[in-house]
Amino acid sequence: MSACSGLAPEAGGIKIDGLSVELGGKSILSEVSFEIEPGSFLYVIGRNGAGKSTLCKCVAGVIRGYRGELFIGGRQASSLSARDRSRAVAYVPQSSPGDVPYIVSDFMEMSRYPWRGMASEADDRRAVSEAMELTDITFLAGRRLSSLSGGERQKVMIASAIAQETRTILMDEPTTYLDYAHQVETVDVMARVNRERGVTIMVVTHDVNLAMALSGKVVALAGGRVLWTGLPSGLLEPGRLEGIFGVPFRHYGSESGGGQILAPQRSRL
Amino acid sequence: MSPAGREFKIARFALIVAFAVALAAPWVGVRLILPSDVFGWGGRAADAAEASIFWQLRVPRVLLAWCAGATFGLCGMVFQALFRNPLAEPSLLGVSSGAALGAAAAIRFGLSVGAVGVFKALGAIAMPACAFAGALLAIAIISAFSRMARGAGDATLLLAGVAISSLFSSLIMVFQYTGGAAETYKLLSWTMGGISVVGMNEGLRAVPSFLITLAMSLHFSTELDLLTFGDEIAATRGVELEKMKRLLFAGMSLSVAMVVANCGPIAFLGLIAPHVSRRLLGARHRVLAPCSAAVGGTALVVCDTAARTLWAPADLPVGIIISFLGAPFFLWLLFGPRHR
Repeated sequence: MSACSGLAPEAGGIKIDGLSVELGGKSILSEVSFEIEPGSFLYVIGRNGAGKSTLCKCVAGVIRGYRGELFIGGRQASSLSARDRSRAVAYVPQSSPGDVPYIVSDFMEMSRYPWRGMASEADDRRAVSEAMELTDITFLAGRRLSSLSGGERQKVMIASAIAQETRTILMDEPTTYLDYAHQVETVDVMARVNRERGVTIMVVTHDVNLAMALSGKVVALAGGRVLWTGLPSGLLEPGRLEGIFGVPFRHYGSESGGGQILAPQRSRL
Repeated sequence: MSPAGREFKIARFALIVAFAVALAAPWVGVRLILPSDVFGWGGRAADAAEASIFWQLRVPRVLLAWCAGATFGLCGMVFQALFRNPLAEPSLLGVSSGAALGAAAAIRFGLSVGAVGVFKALGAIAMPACAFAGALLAIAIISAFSRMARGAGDATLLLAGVAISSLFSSLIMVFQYTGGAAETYKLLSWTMGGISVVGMNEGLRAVPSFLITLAMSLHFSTELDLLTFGDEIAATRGVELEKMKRLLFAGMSLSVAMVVANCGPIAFLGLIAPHVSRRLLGARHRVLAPCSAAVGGTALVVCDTAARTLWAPADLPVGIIISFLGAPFFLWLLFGPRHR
């Protein structure tokens, strides 16, 4: 497995304490606190503009101006260099540039930049080929990124994050633009990476069914604050989703199996 | 053939062509100089006058042109990656017009003529020195703006460069308009870009810029690749964004300033060379860099050879040739048969 990362398993944990972010004079996040256990799944859900992506970017290191404490693997995030952080946390952005004239295998090779000078070439090759097999994109190796479909490109981005061999992967809306088949594949890949490699995964999404699909903890954001924290089953409590998303929800499917489907109630139908 | 093998072959071909052109160019001119004229052959002695033209004028000129062209090509490539904009090139960022303003000031206020003695030696370097100072001024202004407006975005910075360019150009026009006929002519021909050198010392002036830009582009090739994917990807793959951007911007701007100070603001080359190379090889900077240098260097040597031959004995400003040949070629590249 990912033996070359050389980090203790507990290095995957993330602790956020009183995190506040202002962008352009506007408060985006205020006093957000929660913890992600090493090796666990965490969903951050909320409406558009709730601050989910900003939170994700803070942890990833894309946004560096924040107040409060952020610990990655027990270390203060502000004390980490970009390279140190990129060996601890990988990030799958909400959208990736589609107009770049690179082929997939070139991009995958770049995913190993954090380990340059630390991992051998054989390690790099192994990490890349394992990640490509896991995400089932080996056949895309010679294709140009600009020629890929949205679903294929998303898989490449996920493969790149896996090849980075970090203890934590952050994903910003990984399934939002995908069709159902790609959604299922993406969820499977996330589950496998978590189960087989013990990678901590934080997913930002407004798709509650995605949060219901796997076991993990849920943090609901609203207006830049933590509104609720709990297990996915807690989302089924009456009025819970309405409080988070501002519309009433219904759930369909059998009470016995895991086949719950949640959908917003339409006002007129 | 694997894509990597194909890339390698194309890059090697480009380098061979570049080398061959650079070797051939000094012999070509108003008068064709033969190796027997320079080195002597079959008991015939070398022709002193021809040898002197060859070593004192042609070889330094080709060397300067090649290194300057390669520097423009490399700087264009780096700026395009830095700003994630295919239009980015040194002349768009105010660097070239800053240098032009400096040179214009030197010419207008007669710093480079009429001096005697010690000042004569100073006078010879006054124009490049002022051009360099002007480029530094442009860089300083752009950097100050980018520090002031942190996170304003690269497109904003590019637009600021265009604004500064425009401001400087207006000042240059004031100098041109108010100057005497001789000054105005000298200024005008300098702003069109021209390579004329006497002696090997002047020929070597673009070598440091070329070496700096080449070393930086090769050393930071993976960082440049990652920057092409935007700040989010680059930062989360471990690139120290601020530091890397500042370093590359400073290194490239200084190199371009040194070249512009000696050859004038040669536009278009920084745009064309990387685009041609990208068409040939794709975007990986490790192979793109040598190819951009080769294309830029070769293009400038070819155009400069044309500039000193076509209208002989007049020495056309090479910038005219570059734009005249470059523009249609670039359009063909954009809309030609190979485009999708």
